[in-house]
Amino acid sequence: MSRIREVLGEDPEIVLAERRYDWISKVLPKVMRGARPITLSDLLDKALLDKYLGIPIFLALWWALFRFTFDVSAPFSDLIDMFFSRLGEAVEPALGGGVLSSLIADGLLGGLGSVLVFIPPIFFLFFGLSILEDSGYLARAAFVVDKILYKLGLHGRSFIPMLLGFGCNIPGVMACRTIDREEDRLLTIIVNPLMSCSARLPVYVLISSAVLGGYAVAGIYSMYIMGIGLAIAMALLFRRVIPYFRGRRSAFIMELPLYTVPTLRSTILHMWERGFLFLKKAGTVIFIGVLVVWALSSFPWGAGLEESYIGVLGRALEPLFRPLGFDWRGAVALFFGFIAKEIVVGTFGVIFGAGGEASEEEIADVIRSENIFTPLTGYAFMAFTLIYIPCVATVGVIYRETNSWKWTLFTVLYELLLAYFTAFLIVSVGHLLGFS
Amino acid sequence: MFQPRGGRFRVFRFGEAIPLAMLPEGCRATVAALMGGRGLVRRLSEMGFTPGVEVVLLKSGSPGPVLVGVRGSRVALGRGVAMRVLVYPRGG
Amino acid sequence: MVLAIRVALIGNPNVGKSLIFNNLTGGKAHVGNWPGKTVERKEGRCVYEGVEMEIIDLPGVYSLTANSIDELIARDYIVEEKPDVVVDIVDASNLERNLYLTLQLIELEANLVVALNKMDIARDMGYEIDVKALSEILGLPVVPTVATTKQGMDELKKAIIKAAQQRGRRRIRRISYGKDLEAIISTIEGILKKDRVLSSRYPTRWLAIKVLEGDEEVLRRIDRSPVKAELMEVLG
Repeated sequence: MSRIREVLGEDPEIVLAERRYDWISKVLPKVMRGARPITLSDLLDKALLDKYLGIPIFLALWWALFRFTFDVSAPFSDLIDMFFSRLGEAVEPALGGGVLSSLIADGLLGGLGSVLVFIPPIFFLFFGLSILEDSGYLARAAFVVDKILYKLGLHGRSFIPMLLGFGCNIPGVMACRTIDREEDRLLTIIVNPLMSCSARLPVYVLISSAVLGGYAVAGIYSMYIMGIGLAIAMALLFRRVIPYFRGRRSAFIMELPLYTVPTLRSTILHMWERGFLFLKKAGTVIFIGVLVVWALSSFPWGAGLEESYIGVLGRALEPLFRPLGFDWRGAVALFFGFIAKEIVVGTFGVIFGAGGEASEEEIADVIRSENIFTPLTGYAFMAFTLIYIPCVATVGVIYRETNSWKWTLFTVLYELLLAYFTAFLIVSVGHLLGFS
Repeated sequence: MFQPRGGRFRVFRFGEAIPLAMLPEGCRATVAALMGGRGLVRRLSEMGFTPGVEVVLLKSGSPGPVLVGVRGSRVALGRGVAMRVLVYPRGG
Repeated sequence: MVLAIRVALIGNPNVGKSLIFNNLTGGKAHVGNWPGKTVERKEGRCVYEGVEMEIIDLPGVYSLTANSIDELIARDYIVEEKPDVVVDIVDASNLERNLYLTLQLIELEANLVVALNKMDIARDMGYEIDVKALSEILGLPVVPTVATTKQGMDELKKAIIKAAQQRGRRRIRRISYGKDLEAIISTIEGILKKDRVLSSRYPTRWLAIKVLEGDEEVLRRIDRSPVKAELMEVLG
């Protein structure tokens, strides 16, 4: 291209960009009047992007988002919870105890109910995220956060996929395609599952309300923080240790759109799009998973829980998890959590759903009364759920996005190890501090 | 490292160009040259950063990304990127 | 008489494309994946005045270079699938940058209709846009819209149908990028035209421009072309 460069005086690529914009500049005055004024957006940005205020504002908004999600969705969740357990109670005698009635009451209704209970928080979370995104704030957040992320081995563009990961890891991983440098993209994909997706939320809520008492909310919030912390730590670690990631970072160039007041219609549209994606994935997988869990726990028919197939499976896995303080029931729940995280709760629901009731309240009671988890081991269980392998669907998406068995397997393995290590650490430190 | 590209003014006034990252807040400037690999130069120029265009520094980074007004919109540039855009300052 | 057409929506990020898609398709979209890729692909249907439109939502992009997967997908769809109409959604409050993509679409010789969205915001900002003048200068139909209130949707549908009917018959406004550059583009075009296969598949002007830009994808396609040697000779 050297001859061309000589003739034009610069790189033809740049010349083309210049000439296009030249043409636009000449044309613009003929079609448009009015200079760009100082807009409300500019003023808002003065505050929101301020060197010192930017980050606190960001953290505050984020906290508000989570509070909104949990508080507003709670009454709806309770309603659904009640509905399904009442339904289960009504159905069972009507069908006269037996395989079919158990299938419907315990299997379908019990398991499904304890999972559907969490649709309100998921949709409300996406609602909040959509508002933040449509208003234009999310781009500012990426801007504010880039400073920090850069030092930590990621960058501003990684921010939005990570944030989406809080809703569901699948759109989170898919959103990584906006990161143009391959190494950065890969790194963000690999640590994305550490963003606590909304499917894990049911597990936190269940365990923390069961054994953490007054610290329940703090416990849940700490999971999210832990996820972020670990994602950052892993990103830093991988950048330093794995040669593939040592290269130069992708450039941060991002247009900041004007602030707009999001319309209800567009917010609901976005919320629905993302929420529906999650539902579709969850719906089919959970349904099958719950049935499988029910089947494995009900057969051989008539045998007690511990003699059922699920019990056998649990017993086999138990030694692995004993150092962490999880018994066979926790082990089994985690095992099925691989299919979909929602199933962890569903599994508990089915396991404890003896008698048709499987409401969250009752599961929590059983956990407490049978000492399945202590506050310490419960917390470790939550951490394990946070970190260990993403659900099947996510693994599938990771494979398709990276096109590499190597990296997909790597992700699964490092997360498993990290989960075990972290849970172990929590339990060990807890023991040292005198907790049981 | 990289040769400056798009340096139409290079012969005459190149010595007075400074990186965009070093402009004070509120300062206007004209883009002189883009230093970087093909991908970066492409993305910068399609965003509107072409030699000769006027920009204004809306928010400075130091450290951190800068916010630049260009062609009627606002674009955030990471610090590394902002160091690669050379401009002629033209006062606030 | 056109009865069924394929329409692609394209535009910068944040221009209101998904809202317009929703307005046109009434919220019933089929979400899948682009073949072989994991980028989300949204398709929907719209029927207006007896014409059935299959609407596909292309990723939001700033340009059509080979920079990212999004851009490649958008570009490949237009180049390979050759939709009947491409609707370029332009943000009226950010006209200067948005027209950059429009120019690239014109280079690609897509059958364009421009939807000038966010007219309300532009107005609030004090901008006055002469839609007719813009349309004349671009040589394209320009439909002002306000997606949030669904203003302009009918006019847009009408414009799309009309564009589909006039496909191939519309005069393409030649936009000059400067005498020196145009001379070079012409020269390269001349060489490329000698490759019948290549020049029948892609617009030669677009190819020439992409060669100058060092576009990896285009260069790869030319790599196997008989005119490659001559091209390299000229470029130096």
